[in-house]
Amino acid sequence: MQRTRPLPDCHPELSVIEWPSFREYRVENWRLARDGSGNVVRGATSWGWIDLCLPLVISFIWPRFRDSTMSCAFVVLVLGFSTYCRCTQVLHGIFKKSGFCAFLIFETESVLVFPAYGIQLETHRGYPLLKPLFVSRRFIHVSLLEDFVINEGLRRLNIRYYLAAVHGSSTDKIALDVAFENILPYFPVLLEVYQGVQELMFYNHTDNRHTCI
Amino acid sequence: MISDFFHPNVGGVENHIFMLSANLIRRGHKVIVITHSHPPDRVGVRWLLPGLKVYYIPFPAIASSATLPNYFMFLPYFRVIIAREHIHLIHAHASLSSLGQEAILHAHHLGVRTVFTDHSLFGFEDAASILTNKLLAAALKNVDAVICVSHTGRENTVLRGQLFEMSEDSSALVVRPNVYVIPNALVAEQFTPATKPVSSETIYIVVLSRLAYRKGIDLLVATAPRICSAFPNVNFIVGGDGPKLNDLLQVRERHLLQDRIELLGPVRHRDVRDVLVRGSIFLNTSLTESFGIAILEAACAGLYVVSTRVGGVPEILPRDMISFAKPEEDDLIRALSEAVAIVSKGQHDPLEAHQKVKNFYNWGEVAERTEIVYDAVVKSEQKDLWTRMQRTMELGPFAGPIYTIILVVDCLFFLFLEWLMPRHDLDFVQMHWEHHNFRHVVQ
Repeated sequence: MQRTRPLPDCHPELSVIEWPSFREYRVENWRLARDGSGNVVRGATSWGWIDLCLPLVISFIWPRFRDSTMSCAFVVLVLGFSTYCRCTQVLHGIFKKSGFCAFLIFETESVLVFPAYGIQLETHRGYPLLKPLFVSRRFIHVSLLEDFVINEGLRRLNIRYYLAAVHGSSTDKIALDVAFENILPYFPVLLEVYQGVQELMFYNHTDNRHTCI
Repeated sequence: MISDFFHPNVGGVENHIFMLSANLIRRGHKVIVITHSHPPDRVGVRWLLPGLKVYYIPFPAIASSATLPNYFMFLPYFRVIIAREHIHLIHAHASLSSLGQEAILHAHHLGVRTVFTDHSLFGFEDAASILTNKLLAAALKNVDAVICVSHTGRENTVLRGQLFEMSEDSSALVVRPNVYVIPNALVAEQFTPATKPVSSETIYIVVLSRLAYRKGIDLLVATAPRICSAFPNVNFIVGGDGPKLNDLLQVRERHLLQDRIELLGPVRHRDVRDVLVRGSIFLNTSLTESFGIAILEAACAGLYVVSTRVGGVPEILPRDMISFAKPEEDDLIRALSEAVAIVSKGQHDPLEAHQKVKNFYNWGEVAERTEIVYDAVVKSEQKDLWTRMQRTMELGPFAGPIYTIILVVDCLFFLFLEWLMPRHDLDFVQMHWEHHNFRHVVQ
């Protein structure tokens, strides 16, 4: 098993792991801030212990300090500050190119490529520094897999690139399954995964599958 | 290209945008189109041949594919699309398209130049016209260039949109120098005349249009029975659909002309040529027409044209290929009689007409002329915010302050969006469809 980071400068969250019979493209739920500062931005879907504890603490102290205006103001200030932190979620630290920093990783998504059998889209969720607690996997057999493409789509008020596996289903309809659905990495990461999957899955079968770039 | 009117709807403006985009791509530019979505699932990003990317933004359309002015909700999408695609210039089409007018309002935040094309003629008197003309004037106050499809259209747009300014020495009002006329065009190969000539015993008059009031169907309804009784060898072929279809059916019943007037119903664009070559005369009774592309298509297919003398119609064809009439019954009958006489004597040659029209208009030339306009726009100076605000205040005692407030709030909203979705967090487009791939695949 050998792990490399194909884009170490701008997108170190992507790592390619070579297992004995398949290849895994793993994207972790963090990224470098894109303004060049080197800050690390955590993914927005992660929840922390503080989100559980804060309502609990407030429900305990509220009856005691309800009447005093100073305490109310303090509680509101703390709530406001925690909301602000939740919205920005920047862990201040400079990523070392050589080392592997232990970040609070809550979610990891992967695309596993089995050259003769198919591809598998996985989502690992869990608490920091432990093994993943929840794993959801979706396997697409090579006979059903039509193509693996990069599409653009509207997401909220933004336009994002996404990787989609185009596959038929038992009911003869074509469906799209989005890879890295929760993390939604940026285009250079997607391009790397796209080229790897195309090379492994489609290059052996026919040359015509190569799309023009 | 930004407009409410684009495929999958079919029409003159849609076709114009598509053909212009295709020819600009052929000349090496990168073109994208932004339009509104169509239910049920035409939302998002789609690609059209030959390498044209279309963004369908989820705004609902209210009436015949026009959306409500969404001044602020369009800005997030507009900003993201223009920033990620590295766009330098936007080209808005059609005065009834609110997406286009909003784009002109938002463009200066991103340093993008603007061009506007007006495709139709509008009146001045009724309430709807007064409102839309004021909206148009507000939008065009700060636009960099305006293109119209005919000289009559140019006069109309200048008057409606108040595209004139006080001259340098404050003596007279002068039309702005950046109003251009570039006509529409057609693909002549799609409209070739019939290979074997039509029979000369019966003369068919072809009418192909939307059956609406603006297209003068009332005139057709009034004149058709009189023509049929005056000329026993003349028949009508009417194609198209619309609210006035019932009137046509009624006149057919009343005068027992079922075998003289043939109603085809809606005709697809690719079948238009086959319908046209069945006849020898094309009749256009529009009450207002800024260019008249249908007339041009008919002339290209070898038909002799009879039309009402309105709008830009007198500018498009030479005098020997078209007969004009005032939009009145008697004059129309006079013109039709003249046309029937010319065709019966065999004085109109379809193949010669096609050869002439083939050389008049083509899309490559339109794209080249549009490129010259773009070049002039890009080389001119961008107006700064204070100038824009001053110019917007000139709109009038009520509209001026209202639109200036909209402009200022727009700037503030743009600043808010720059904080909410920072420019460096956008998913920039790094690869686009290369045109040489298309040529390689097609060969």
